[in-house]
Amino acid sequence: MTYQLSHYDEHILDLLPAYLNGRLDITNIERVRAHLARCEACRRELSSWQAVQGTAQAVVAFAPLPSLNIMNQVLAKIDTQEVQAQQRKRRSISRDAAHLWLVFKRQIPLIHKSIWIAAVGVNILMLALIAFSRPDVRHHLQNVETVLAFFSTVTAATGIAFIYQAEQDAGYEIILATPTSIRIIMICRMVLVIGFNLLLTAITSGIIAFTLGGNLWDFVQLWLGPMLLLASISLTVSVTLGSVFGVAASLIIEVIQAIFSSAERTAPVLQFLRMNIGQTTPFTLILAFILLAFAIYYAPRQPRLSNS
Amino acid sequence: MSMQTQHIQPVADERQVIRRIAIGDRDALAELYACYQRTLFNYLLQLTPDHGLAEEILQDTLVAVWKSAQSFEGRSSVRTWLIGIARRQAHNTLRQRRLPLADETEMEGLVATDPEPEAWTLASFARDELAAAFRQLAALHREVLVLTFVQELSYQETATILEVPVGTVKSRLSNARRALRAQLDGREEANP
Repeated sequence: MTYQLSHYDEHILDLLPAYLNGRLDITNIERVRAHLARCEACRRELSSWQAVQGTAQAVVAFAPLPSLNIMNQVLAKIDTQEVQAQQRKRRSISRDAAHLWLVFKRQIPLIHKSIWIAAVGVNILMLALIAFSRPDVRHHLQNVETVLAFFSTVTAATGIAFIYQAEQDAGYEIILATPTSIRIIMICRMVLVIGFNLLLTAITSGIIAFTLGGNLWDFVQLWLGPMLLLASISLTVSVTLGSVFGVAASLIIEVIQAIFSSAERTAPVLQFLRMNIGQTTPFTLILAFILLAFAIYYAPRQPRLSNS
Repeated sequence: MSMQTQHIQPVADERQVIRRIAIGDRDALAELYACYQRTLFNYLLQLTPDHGLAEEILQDTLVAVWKSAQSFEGRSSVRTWLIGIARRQAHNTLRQRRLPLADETEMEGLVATDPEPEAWTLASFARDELAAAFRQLAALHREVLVLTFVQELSYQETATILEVPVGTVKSRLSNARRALRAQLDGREEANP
């Protein structure tokens, strides 16, 4: 009871505004009422707050209303902002495309020159080999096909192995210092190197098909699938283990294929591999795509790239 | 449904209206505005004496409501949420135009624990005297008085809007009342 008395006798000044605006909980309402009943000073305080309350309500009651057309202006503002947002989006798409093109163009001088020279050299070598070989060998189309498939595939794979390596890359430090995605750079370089090799080998195939006679697609399908597959294997091994391993892996695969090509009649597994990997089939293309996707996904995570 | 009935009838379920705004219903925005135009405009007029500027901020508030309706989670009441948005819009606009902000030079005192002396009471002043003194108050003080006595928000809701602790709301209220009294004393000295 003593506690109750002293509790109710405490002044309740900070509760009075909430008591007046009806936002006090029931326990505190009772406490305020009990205190007011016995405290003259707090009753005076309450009447002061009532005067403040009445004043605030009176002042606001005489305040003007906003204009009638506010809502129309709001809708007009919303329309304007939505149009502007769409324009910004459209502008940012074209800016992204321009940026991508710039990144793509800038990769040409940054890719190691030997990649281009090697590809041109190998294609010239292939033409020379075919041109200066004995006529009976040359006219045996299978030999020509072997040369074409072997050299073009290895060149592309070797080039790809070196497109993304710290020690081979002059612009490596710049890449690390810019916000441009490593993946974008890798894709640009891959498109450049594979595209260059595809173009050169297509020209060489065209020359061979024209001079020796034969269907161009018969030549192209011999190297297109294997080139893409080996390049993707090379890139995957190169980003995971290093470019030297990438080159080694592609060479080993090609050599194994060459060595065992004579034994394929007796080994059904090898025959399956040659039929499915040694030519352009949906299987080669899908496998190549999966490996490329993995390499592009994996590259930015590679700790070695940040030289840590 | 005509616009007149919308003006008279309160929004049946305010949260439902906010959800409709969130999915791009412009009629829902108009309904919400019809309900809250007086609340928001009265509040904004406490922050700036400029009628035109207050209307501009009111428009920006509704545009902000339109854009952020999706993020309304219902943790506070719609009223508290709307006044909070209006306050932020007002502060942004006033800051951009280098106009004085409500909370720039505040001396937060403690809440008085003892009643003021008998002669101090405000109840003896005439209504128009009090109203004139109220209009002379700092925006900071008018704001907290309007939120408490006109919008009838709880201390907690006012604290949410003003982004201050509940204790600050209480002390700001008692400072506002003291400032009102000081205005009245100043008037008495000027016109004895």
